Amino acid sequence: MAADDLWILGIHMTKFGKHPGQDLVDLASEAVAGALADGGVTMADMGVIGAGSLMAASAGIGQQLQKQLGQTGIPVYNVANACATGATALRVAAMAVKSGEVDMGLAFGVEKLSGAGLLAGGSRL
Amino acid sequence: MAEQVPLVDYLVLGDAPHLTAHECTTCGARYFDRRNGCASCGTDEFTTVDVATTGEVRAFTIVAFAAPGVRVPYVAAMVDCGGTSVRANLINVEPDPEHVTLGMAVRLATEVIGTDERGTEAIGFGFEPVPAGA
Repeated sequence: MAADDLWILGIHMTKFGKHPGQDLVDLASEAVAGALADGGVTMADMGVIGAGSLMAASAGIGQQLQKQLGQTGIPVYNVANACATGATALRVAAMAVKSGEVDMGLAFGVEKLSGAGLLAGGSRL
Repeated sequence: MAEQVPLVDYLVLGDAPHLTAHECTTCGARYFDRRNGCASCGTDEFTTVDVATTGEVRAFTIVAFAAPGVRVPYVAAMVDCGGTSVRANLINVEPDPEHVTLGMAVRLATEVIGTDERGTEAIGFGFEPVPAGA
């Protein structure tokens, strides 16, 4: 194993669907809690977060997630990068590990498109 | 009596108004409002607990400027209710340093913060000084 090898400890994914009863943070929380549990680690083990959301990156989806699952004082990067948003979030965490800055990082991507297809974003009365 | 609705879900109205919190069954951390998991220990099981209706002012600031329609000055405070930290305004008190002090004993109080065209009242909460001898 080379010194710059990366390992994926755990993964999780919510089911694709409209999820009328769950908002963006609910979906992100479910995915992140599932991935942490799958990896046998906790938020306290994470050294960095890559938070991907095309529509909610500027709303600080990473911080919203942290407020629910743990504000541990680590850097969070909210990224939006078209269809490469999730991959970019993963890259942020991967680069932080490869650079030697952190031992473990968390990457998640979340989008809620249900109800967002209307011209007024579903907000028009 | 007019119909009343609480400003926030964690304010329970009725004869004995009080706040409720989500308490982590693992580490005991308490949270108001929505909760997807315990930000302290990472688990996700909670019970609902009643928060003490009396407490102590731990920090406060007297707000002198606000958007139009918001009456100033008012007092924003952090209140320690039996170990649970609650953010709220201090009400039914003169909003000046002579009447508001750190460590003062306060109790939960509700107030009407708005009424719609059907007469339904929106009920908010704050903390007021505990009268001497009470």
